[in-house]
Amino acid sequence: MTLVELKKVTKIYITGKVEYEALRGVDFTLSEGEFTALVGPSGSGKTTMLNIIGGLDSATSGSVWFEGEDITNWNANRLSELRRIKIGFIFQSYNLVPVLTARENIELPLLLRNWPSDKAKARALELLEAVEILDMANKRPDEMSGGQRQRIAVARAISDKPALILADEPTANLDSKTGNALLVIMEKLNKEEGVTFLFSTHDPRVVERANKIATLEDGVIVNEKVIERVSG
Amino acid sequence: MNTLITRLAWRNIWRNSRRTTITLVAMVLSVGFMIWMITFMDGFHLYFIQAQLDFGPAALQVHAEGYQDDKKVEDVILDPAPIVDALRELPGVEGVGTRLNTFGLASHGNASQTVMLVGTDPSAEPDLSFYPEKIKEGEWLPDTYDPEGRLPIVIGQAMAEKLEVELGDRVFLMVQGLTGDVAYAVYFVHGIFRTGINELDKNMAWVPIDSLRSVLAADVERFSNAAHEVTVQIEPNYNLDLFTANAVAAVGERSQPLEVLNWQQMQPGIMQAIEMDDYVIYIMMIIIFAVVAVGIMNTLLMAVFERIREFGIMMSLGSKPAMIFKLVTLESLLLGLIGAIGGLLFGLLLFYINMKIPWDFSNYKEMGDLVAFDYTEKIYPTLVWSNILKAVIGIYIFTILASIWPAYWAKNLKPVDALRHV
Repeated sequence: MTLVELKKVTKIYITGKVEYEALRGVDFTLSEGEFTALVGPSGSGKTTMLNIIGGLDSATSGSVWFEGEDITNWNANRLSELRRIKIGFIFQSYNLVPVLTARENIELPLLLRNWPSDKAKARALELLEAVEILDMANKRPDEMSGGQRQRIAVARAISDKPALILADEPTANLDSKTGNALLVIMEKLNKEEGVTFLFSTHDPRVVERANKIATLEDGVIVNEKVIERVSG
Repeated sequence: MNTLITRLAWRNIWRNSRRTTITLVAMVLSVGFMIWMITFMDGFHLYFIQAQLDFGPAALQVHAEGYQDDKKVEDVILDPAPIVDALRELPGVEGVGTRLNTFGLASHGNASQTVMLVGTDPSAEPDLSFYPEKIKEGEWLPDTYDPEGRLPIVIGQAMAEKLEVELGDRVFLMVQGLTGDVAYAVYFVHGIFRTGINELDKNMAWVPIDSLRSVLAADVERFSNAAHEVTVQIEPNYNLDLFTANAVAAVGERSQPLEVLNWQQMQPGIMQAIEMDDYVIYIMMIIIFAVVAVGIMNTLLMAVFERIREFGIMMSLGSKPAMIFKLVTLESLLLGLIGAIGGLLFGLLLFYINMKIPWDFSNYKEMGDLVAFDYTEKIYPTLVWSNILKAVIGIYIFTILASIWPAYWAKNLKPVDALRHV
């Protein structure tokens, strides 16, 4: 079943008198349960595409569909609700709230989804154990390494098992060991819980695991490839 | 969720602890000094009112109808005794007495001075005014005297100096009688008072009411019990409006039309002066709080600008714009709460210090005419909680107002722009 669909989406940034066309009529479909890698050179429009799918940015033209609904013209509140209920984000630069501890950062989206605080706390601790940094529960981001922060970011994104996780270069700032460990966690979540992942990445380890690879060049999808992987 | 938002807001406040501390110090100082100023002004007003009442009309008076407006000597209460009895029974009463007033000229030798002559019940007056306490030489009017002998008079110090009289000296009075004729009398100085209010010390003179009736009414039978005022003093904290209502009911309908007036009705100027003072304080309060509010707004704006990316993070997690607004406003509310409580405590500390070390006005005697500083040389602050609350609530409201713009600005951030912010 189709989860996300972009139809002739364009995005033009205007800086002063200069116009820059980041996306040039992108047509793209993401189905439920996919583990998709969006690849392409820097400046090809990967992050812009992820932002538009996640409702963080709006398309200049074209339409964006999520679970069969056209979300192109949704207002800020409806898009917030969509992100809160359906979408998790993992950013290259972690984007944790600096004044909250690791546990509280994971609790935050759960509490936004009206989880009772004791259950949110229990879930956060469970996830901290899953990403193997339970001992960091009461540390703030500035007391953690980059790898530990990204583990928190992943735990936060998957905390309520959203329908879609948008991961923007999640392994870019990590060493290979940490990157691999996180990819294993995400792959497991995809296979066992059916959570759909869309990665923007240059990392071959992500591409190796993806079951669909879309290549974006100069704001256009130039290639889309479905890969059948044999488990085990 | 609210717990986490509150925690988040609290931690955000202390993120830049130096900046927050400076803002809070400004709030605490301004609220504290404002509260102290309010307690000082309330104390001053209380003192001012008390001074006016103790040397003036007391709390309430009953007159013949029209006396308050025209002060005609012939407008007397013909039979004040039943009114005195009725008022004496009221709750809150401290003292009731009668007074007979006239004016004229006092002279001794070649010196003369205009005089406001008051006939009073010597034993009742100590409960009605401070004049008996302010005797500097001699004594207050005696309860008994020989009507055929030397009639006692108590005069102000300035009048004594003007007339060049001492205790026991004779004072010749030429005053307006109740029938409209000029009346003459001779009194002997029994005491000299000093209030510090030059106008009173120069013009006021007190004599026993019985003696004055004889002088003013001659042998007119209907004036044999006459009084211009039935004067009532009430307990200091007794509700004046309630007492007035009770007094009006107690006086009721009489054969002679009467007016019952409390001091606020008799001397509206005092209340107007106090109201004007209050307006000045309110204006100062608004100016000070506006300055503090700008400081708070500056702090919040800086805090908001520093955290644009974080707002983007929260939005990416699904926070609605309203929640961002709530977060920034909550930070302001917490800041305001600390500032208001700190300011209240600091203000109360200043109040306490001021109670221990009251303002000494002994060096400002020359202002005596204006504010009766000689009444007492020290003015103590007074805690009127309703006025204190105005300052505390005022700073709180200004703090909330100060947060609206930063909160609105943060609320309207576009998630993608906020996340890109470095």
